[in-house]
Amino acid sequence: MPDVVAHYPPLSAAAVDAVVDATVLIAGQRLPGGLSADESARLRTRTTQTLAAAERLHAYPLSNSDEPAFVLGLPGRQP
Amino acid sequence: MIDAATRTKADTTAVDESDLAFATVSDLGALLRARVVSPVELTRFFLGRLDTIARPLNAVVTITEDVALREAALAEVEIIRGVDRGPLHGIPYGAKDIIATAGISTTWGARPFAGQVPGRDASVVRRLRDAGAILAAKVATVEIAGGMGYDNPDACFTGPTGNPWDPGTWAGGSSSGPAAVVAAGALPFAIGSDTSGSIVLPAAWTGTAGLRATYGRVSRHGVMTLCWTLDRLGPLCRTAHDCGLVLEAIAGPDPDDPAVLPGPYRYRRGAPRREGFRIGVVTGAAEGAEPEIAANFARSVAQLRDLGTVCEVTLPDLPYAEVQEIISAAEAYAAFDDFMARGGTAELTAAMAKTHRLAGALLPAHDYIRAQRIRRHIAAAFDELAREFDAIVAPTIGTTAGSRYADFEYMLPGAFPRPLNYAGVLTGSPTISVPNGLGRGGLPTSIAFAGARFAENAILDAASALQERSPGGAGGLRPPVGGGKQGGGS
Repeated sequence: MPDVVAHYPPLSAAAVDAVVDATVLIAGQRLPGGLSADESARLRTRTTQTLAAAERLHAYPLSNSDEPAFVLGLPGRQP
Repeated sequence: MIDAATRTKADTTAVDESDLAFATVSDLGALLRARVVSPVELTRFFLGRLDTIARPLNAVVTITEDVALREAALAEVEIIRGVDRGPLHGIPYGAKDIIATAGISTTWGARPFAGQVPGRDASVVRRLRDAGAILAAKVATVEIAGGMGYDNPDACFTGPTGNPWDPGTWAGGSSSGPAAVVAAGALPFAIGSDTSGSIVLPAAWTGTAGLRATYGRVSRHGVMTLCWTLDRLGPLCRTAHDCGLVLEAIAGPDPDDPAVLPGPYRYRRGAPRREGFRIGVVTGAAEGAEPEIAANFARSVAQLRDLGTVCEVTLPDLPYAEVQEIISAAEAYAAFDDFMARGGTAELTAAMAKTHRLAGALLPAHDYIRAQRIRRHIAAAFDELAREFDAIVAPTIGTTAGSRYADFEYMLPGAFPRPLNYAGVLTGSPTISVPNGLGRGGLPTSIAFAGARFAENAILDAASALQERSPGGAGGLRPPVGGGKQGGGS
């Protein structure tokens, strides 16, 4: 299998903002009392960092994207 | 209790308490077998040190006195009757408080779980009991093993753990308690856990030996799950040799953890190598490190050159940090989804922990899978490199212990000059950190030995050979508290 790069166009600033806004919205709903301004700012920073890490991995060429990478472990033994 | 009449004729010399506190597992085993000290005496001795020396450092969550004395009494009877369960028989130990212990609170270091009392022991606890070891304490951990994020040592409901070398500095995390109790001579060994450096980094800062064995060597059944493709258990001891002894006892198949390797691990304790090592030194490994760490590392490399061949190696240029970040984000979120969904992070101590993991709420599954596939590239590349050597070495961390009370942003610049730790984390290969001297402020410095998967014996031998030539010698370093009499250069 030839190397495969995920040819996503880089996320625009508007797209990053949309994901960050949605993440902050979800967090606000899950945490009792919602988020303070400081907590919201922390979460925005962290989410942006996570998105950036994922973006860098999209640019990494994969040669094993068609391999069965994982083994599903099910309980029980072969008779 | 073994009385004077029962002791052997060979040696009834009183053992200096300081020497007892800082004795290795091997040395304590010899004293027990020679009946110089009994398991009950030894256990009472360490219970006392846990209370008076380790507890004030916030290194202890629960002292398991009743269990310890019961197990010690059993070991005592067995030893008198000539039953020998191996090198850990009669030796007290501590377990990081994310490891389940039946009927004993297991708090995960976090207030929301402070009332948690498991009904069953973790597999590692059962294995240690079978080996005759004595559970003396549940010891401190950063809350949820640091998995919800933290930016200050105070991220633990029992408070920040002080470093026995200087209680104003931190013992490191997340295996803070295991490292601190061993360094303080409050226990001969402890079991820690490691997802992204939580054994080797506290070991480095406390001058102890910490082994992160090959992924799958040790069952994690009954242990808090954080990131199941990264989580590992391992020993913190005074020496690399002791780490080998403990690993042999806790490794092996377990149907309750599907990730565990099918075969046993045998430590090459009979005839450890002392020379002829092939050592790779990470190019520029000490760049950005504190000057004393760089100097001690250079001295260690020179000593290793006397023990074999040494050459520089360059780690493959791969996205270690990004892969680790995406895998951690996805797996930790999944492991604590229910907890986060009910707002549990709001009850944690670290301010950062309230929101840190929620950043992964919209991380696509395919990004996680892509990270795992890239991880296979990393593993293949690192394995190809590591198989050329007995060990690849670098300073474990580029700084000595930071303040017990300061935020990390002020403490950690320059800490990780090269990604040897992440390479070990992601590839499931073994790494051991051993002390190699003293640095800034008289605090310990350390060197990490990383090997190919399943190559524990090679890195243990190399680390042992170096440790014998390092300050503290074969018995390890002693801090200037609790009876330690260390001096010993940088």
